[in-house]
Amino acid sequence: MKWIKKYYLIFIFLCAISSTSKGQNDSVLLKADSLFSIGKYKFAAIEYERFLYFSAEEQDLLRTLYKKAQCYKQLSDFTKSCKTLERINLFRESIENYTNVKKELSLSYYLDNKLQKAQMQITQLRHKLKNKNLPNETLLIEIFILNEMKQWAKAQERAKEYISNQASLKDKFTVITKQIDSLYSKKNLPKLKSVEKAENLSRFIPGAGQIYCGKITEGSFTFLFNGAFLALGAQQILTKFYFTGYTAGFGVLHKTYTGNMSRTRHLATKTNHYRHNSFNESIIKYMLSL
Amino acid sequence: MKKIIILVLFCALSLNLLGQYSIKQRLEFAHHLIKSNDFDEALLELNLLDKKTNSDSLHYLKGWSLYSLKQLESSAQSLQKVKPESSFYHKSQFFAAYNYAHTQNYNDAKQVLLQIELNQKLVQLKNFEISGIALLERDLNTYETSRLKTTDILPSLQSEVVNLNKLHASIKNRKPKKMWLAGLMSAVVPGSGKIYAGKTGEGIASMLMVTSTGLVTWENHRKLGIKNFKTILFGSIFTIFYVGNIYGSVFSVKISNEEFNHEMDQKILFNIHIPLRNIFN
Repeated sequence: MKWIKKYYLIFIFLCAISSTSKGQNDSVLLKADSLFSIGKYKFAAIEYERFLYFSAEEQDLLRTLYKKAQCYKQLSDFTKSCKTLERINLFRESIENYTNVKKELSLSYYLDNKLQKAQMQITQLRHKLKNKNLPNETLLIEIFILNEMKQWAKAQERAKEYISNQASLKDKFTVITKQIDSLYSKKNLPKLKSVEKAENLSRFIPGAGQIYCGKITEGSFTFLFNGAFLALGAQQILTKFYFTGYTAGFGVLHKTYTGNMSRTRHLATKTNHYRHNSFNESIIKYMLSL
Repeated sequence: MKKIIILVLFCALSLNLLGQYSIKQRLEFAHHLIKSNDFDEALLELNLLDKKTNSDSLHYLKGWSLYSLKQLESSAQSLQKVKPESSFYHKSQFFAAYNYAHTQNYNDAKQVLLQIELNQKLVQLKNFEISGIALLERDLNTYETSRLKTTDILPSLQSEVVNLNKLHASIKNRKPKKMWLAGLMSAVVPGSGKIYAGKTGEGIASMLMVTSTGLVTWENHRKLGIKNFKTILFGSIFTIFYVGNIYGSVFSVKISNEEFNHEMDQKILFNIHIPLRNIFN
């Protein structure tokens, strides 16, 4: 009887030690979750990392890393969010977990402006899912990525795939498809300007590049300005004011002429950026309103 | 016996509830965060430990996080607190001195270096750092006396000692450019002051600009007379360019001197930093 009691005590003691360590880790997770819920994401991320550092168990690994990545996402630190999600070993994970992680990774990479990497995540997910049942959120991200990469035809195709996947949109399918076709129609696509063409136009007719970029007033003014200096130079030389003609006329003309070309280059790039962004925003707005 | 079992159970439960990580574990965790380049997080964790312990590891880790976050003044203060018993002592003190030197707090940097308790191997490093700081202060005499002259220099210091000697020679041989001289030169020959300041391209451009406007003014003055509107206009433009060029030349010298000093400082700091990383990492 005495031995049995002794064994009882030893058993309880060992149980207590092991449960202390587990209790410690569990309490860290609880603390992390509560910090997350009250919006203290930086501290929550630390607690999740503490759990990962001290815990030997692998069962909570995915969830913890996922939550840690969420913390960084909330803090708009998408680089760290990606770094955390990349730590998840997906080889042994279920298809559901794989999908969730890849979905999150593609979003984080997209928000971190790493479009190639974001698209790679989606391609991997498509391959894994054999092109079926891709989450709608991921499809949306793919559409946005393709728009950013100016792959309009593919983006349109994905937009249609997105609508056909949405059960709630089945009855409006035809209307929405028409709307998407109209959004991606040739007429509606951003008319991007060729930077080289704009520059060459300004090379031959100062101001023509600006007009090509849609800045008619600025282009006209530039044309007159350059013409005035050319005329001044010629007039001064004809009246035998050689130095004045060369310096005040042609010297200044040279400066305005070269400056005008670099201005045209800048203007074409800016116009393209603006038109591309406006188009993308209209697509994002529409897709999110569905 | 029942009472004992209940007591043990109670103790176990209390232990479980009070289950918290020890300070040692938390410092290990902070070290792990630093190794993962999560310096902000490491600093938050270490700040939480600040009131609970005064250990050297805490000061070292905190100093290292701040150093990695380029908060050099705070880093130096934290690293300086590491005591001689710690294995991080030498690394902390040398980096504290470097951090002070980087923030141009040369007196504190020298003080830290002079107070370090050293073994024989690190004496050379200490003298090298002191000579580097002397060069940063442009105290060339102290540099001459403190620089490493022996042939038996530590391998990790050899190339940096040569580099510091070269930098010393550059500083010693450079005659500081005079602002008034640049102004005077530009007054006589427009643009020559900028060329004297080392900005040849700018000097030639200024020379062409002032000469052109000068010629235009002369041409108009010769053909139309001094009271003509064109002469007055071009004369005014010429005067603005001429005076502006003198003013610009004076400032070019100032900027040139500052650029030279900045470049030298960056090179010296780079050379006194490399051995620290090589020896202590």
